[in-house]
Amino acid sequence: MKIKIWNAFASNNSGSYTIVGNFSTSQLARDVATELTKLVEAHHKWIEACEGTSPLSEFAKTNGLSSYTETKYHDDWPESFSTAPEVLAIDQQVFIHHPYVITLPALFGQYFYSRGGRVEIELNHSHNPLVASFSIYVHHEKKKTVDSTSTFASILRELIAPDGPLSTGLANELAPAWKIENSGFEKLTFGACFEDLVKSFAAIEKIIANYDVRSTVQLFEAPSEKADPLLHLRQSGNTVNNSDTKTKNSETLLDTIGSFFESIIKPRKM
Amino acid sequence: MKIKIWNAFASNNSGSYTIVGNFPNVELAKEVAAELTAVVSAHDVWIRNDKRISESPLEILAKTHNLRSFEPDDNLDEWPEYSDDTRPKVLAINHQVVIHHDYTVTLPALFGQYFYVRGGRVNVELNHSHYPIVAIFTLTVDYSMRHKIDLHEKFSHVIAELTADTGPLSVGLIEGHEAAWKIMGRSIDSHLVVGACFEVLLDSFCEVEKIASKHELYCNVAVFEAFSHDKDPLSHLRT
Repeated sequence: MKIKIWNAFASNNSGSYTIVGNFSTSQLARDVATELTKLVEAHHKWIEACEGTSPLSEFAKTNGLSSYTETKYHDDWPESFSTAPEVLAIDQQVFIHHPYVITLPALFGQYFYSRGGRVEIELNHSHNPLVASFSIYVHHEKKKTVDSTSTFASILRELIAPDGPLSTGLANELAPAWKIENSGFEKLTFGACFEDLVKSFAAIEKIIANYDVRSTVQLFEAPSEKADPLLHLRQSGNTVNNSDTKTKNSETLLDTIGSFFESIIKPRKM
Repeated sequence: MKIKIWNAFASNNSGSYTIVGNFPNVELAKEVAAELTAVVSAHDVWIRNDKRISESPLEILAKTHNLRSFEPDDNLDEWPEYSDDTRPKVLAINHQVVIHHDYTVTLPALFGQYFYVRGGRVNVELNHSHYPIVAIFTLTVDYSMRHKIDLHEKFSHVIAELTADTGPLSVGLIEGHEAAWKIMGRSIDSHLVVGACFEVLLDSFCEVEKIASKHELYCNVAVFEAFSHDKDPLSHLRT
C-alpha cells in the first residue's frame, strides 16, 4: 500500500477546460470520442492510486504521441473526488470538457491530429461563461428531399419546449437566442450558455439526431460576466436577460404557424 | 517523368485562414516560427514549380517529425492560389505563434500537428473565415514589477503610442471597425485589453508587439471571427 502526503495551498484558481476537434466524417468523430471516453475513465480511476504506468502514458506510447508524464502537482487532471472529464461527439466534432480544473493534457489535441482531425479551439482555464452557438443546416445533397423551413421549425419547437435544452439548464439566467437565415445559405443558428455543457449538448444532439440535418458548434468564452455574448443573434441588439422575450418568441413561432413562415421570409432574431 | 492533369472548377470560395499556437516559452515559439517561415517559403516555391520532381518541403517536414503523411496533390485547396503573395505569414508573439493567409480555402492540418510535436498547443484555428478576424491583446506587467510601478500610468503611455496618428490602432484597421481598449482588473491585477480588426493582420500584430515589448509588457493574443460585417465585435470593450 502506498501512502501519499500532499503538500499544497488552497488557491481556488480553477476554471473550465474545453477542447473541440473536428473530423472528416461523423463516424470518425464517434470512433475517436468512444476511444477517448474509455481512456479518460481509465485514467481517472488510475489517479486514485497512481500506481504503475498511467493509461495516458500508455496511450501516448501506443499512438506515437509525445511522451506523457504526470505533472508535479497533478494540475493537468481533475482531483479524483471530482468527476472525470467528459467526451462527446456531435456530428463531425468531438468535445472534451471539465468544469473545474487547471488544465488537461495537450495529448488530446495531438491525438485529434494523429487521427486526421484538427483542433478548432482549446479553451484552457476559462473563468467566464462558455458560449455555444449551434448552426443547423440541410446538406446540399438532401435539399430536394428535406424541407429546411419546416425542419428548422420542428427542431426549434423541441429545443424551446418547457423541458427542452433551451429552456432548462441555462447558466447565468441568460436567455438563449436564435436566428433563421434564409438568404443564400439556409441555416438555423441558436446560442446559449449552459450550466452543464455536456449534458445540454447531449440533449441537443438527441433532438437533432431525429432530423436529416447537419450541425456544427462554435464555442467561445464570453468576454465578461456581464456583457451579453449572444447580442449578434438578438434582433434588438440589446441585452435580453428575461424570459418575456423568449416566451413571446416561442409563442409566435409555435402557436401561429403563419407568423412563423413570415419569420422565415423576414429572418427574425430574438 | 510524371504528367499530371488538373481538373478543377473556379469557385472564388476563399476566406482567410488563421491558426494560433502557444508554447511553454518565448524562445521555443521563436524557434518554431523561424522553422515554419523557412518551410512555408520553400513549399511556396515548390508548389509554383510545374515540375515538382522532388518531395515537397511539407512532405519532408512531415517525415522528419513523424507527422501524418502529407500529399500535396491530394490537398490542392490547402495552399493559397489567387494572391499576389501566396506565402502564408508566420509570426511569433511572445510565447505564441500565428500563421495566417488572407485568401485561401484552407492550409494543411500539419501546422497544428507540428505545434504539438514541438511541445505547444493549438489555441484556435479559424479555418476559412469570411467575416473580419477580431484580435484581442491582453497586455500585462511581470508579477515581480507590478507593485513597484503605477500600472495605470504605464498603460496610459502604451495606449497613447498605440493610438498615435501612425500607431497600429489608428492605421491599418478594417474600414468601419474602430479599435477599442480598456484597463481591466484592480490594483496589481490590472491589465490592458486592446481589440481591433486589422487589414493586414500580422503586420499590425508586429506593431502592437513592438510597443508592448518596448514597455516590457507581456502580450497574449486571442482571435475570433466576427459574427457579421455590421455588428460590433468589440462592444464589451466600449462600455
